[in-house]
Amino acid sequence: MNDLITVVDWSRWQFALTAMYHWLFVPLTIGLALIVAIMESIYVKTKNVKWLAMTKFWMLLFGINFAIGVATGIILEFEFGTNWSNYSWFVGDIFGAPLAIEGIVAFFMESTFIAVMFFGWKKVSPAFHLTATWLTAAGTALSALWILVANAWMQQPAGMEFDPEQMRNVMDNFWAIVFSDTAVAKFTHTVSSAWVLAGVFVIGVSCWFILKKRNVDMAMDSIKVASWVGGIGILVTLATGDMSAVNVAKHQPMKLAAMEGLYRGSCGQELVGLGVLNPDKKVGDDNDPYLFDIAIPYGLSFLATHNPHAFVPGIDDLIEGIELTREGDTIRTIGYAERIAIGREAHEALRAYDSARANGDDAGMEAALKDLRAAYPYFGYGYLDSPEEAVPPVALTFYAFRVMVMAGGYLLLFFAVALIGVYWRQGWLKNKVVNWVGMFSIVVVWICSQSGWITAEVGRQPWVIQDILPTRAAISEISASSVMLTFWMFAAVFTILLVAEISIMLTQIKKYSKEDITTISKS
Amino acid sequence: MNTYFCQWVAKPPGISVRMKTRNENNGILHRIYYLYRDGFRGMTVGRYLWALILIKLFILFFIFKLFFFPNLLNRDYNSDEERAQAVRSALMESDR
Repeated sequence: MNDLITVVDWSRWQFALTAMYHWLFVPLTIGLALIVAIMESIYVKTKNVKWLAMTKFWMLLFGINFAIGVATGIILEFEFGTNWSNYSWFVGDIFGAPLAIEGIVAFFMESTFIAVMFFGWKKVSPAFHLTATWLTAAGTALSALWILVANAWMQQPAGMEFDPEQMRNVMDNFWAIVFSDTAVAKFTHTVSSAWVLAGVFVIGVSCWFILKKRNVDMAMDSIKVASWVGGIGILVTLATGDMSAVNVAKHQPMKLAAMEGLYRGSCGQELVGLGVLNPDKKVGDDNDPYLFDIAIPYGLSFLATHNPHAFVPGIDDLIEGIELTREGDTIRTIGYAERIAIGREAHEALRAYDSARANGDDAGMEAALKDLRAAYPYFGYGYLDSPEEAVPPVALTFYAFRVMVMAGGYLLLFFAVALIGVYWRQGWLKNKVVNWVGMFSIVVVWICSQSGWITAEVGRQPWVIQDILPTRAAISEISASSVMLTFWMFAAVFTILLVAEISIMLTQIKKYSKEDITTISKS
Repeated sequence: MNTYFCQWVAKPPGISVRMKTRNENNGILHRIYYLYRDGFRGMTVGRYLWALILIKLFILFFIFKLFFFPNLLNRDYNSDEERAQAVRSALMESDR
């Protein structure tokens, strides 16, 4: 059992490491592709060589990021086959189909249009080149779509039916998977957050140009484009974040309770803006969950349901199956002890099905299948020993969510200042402190982006597929030592690649900052 | 007359259409070929990046995938039925 926990933990750490590392590059690729496409559009429209120089400079940084990041996501697929083989089989074609589409789209769009982007300046017409750049931008976002659809399905399983004979979930409605609430919110939230990240990156690098008094004109125009992309991006991110919160409240209420450190909910539930969790707080006890908190009245009820007086259940409420009406009357929902019992019934039904199948008993198979279908929505609870096992790590989810929200608030202000500065108060952007803040914000936006993923993925524990399969059941029979070994190997390779990327980027930024616009435009 | 004849011989109407099509096809293929060839030849930073990509792909596919990340179900079982049975056993055992 201890070895199982170690294997699960190390496999989770390994998956987190590779996913987070991959996610360092993806949002910059998505966002920077859009910014480059806008800059090139302005160049094609105005024929101003400055915009050509800007396009080429940011395209170069896009290329460096793309080259270092490309194929880092493939490691996740390796891990599915080795560390998570039960899961890989169990999800069947639901995961396979979107990933196959992603592979084909990514290969054809990226290998074709990126080549035209970089090699085609003097080979194809400006309109064709511009089309290739826009298609690259669209292709990067589309690549993200399919993996996010697959991820969303894990958070909100839809459009499938479990086939006990194949022992896997079979897709029965492709569009229900693609257009589930969670998939739509996740895709729009993630892509818009990528625009934000790239916007901050471009502004931060431009601030360095201004600080060094090199190509200031080019830097100011870069800030204009990046401010619009990032500014619109942060507004869309806020709106889609709201959409995500409503979805989480509906489909993953335990995750929402963990995000808030909420154990006992109420009608008109407040939202903890800033707080420190009480480390001694346990599920079911009477300790105060916070050592310190600053709360916004009615905030969580409004965030979760758009109704400031609605009831939002806490961890204890969910476990006990309690929900309250606005008048304070108690409504019983299915508590977690009951879910565990239903989950075990589902397992028994599956065993009965297998036994009937082995005996050629068609009537027995049909009866067992009926029982299995009825209990299947709680299949995963059958693996739990106690309701407390269904509670995610509260502290990590709570703090990661706050870091994301606070950084998001800061970025909203950041883009407002950038837009005002670049259009009406250009003196602000020539201030050294502002330049340093701009550069420092590059770190903030990456922390924000990674915190979002930590909230989403840690908050859904213990499930690898919500309510259907817990993480510990998804693991393969492998040794902890082999996972530990590959974890450290990945860590070493990733560190080397990251150092390579940063150093190549910094070298190019320094080099191009010393070139004049005409030279860059001819590069 | 002689001039017209020579022009006709050099570029007969029927054949010229076919030749033009073939030339155009060749042109497109050539242009794609030269796009990549000249692009790769003219790279500066790209050379380092391609070297990095190739080293990375080698490490990923020839070291990690080959030696450390086999697809366990594909390696250990020959048919989908056997794989389904293995997952069934694993999932039904782990709840006990």
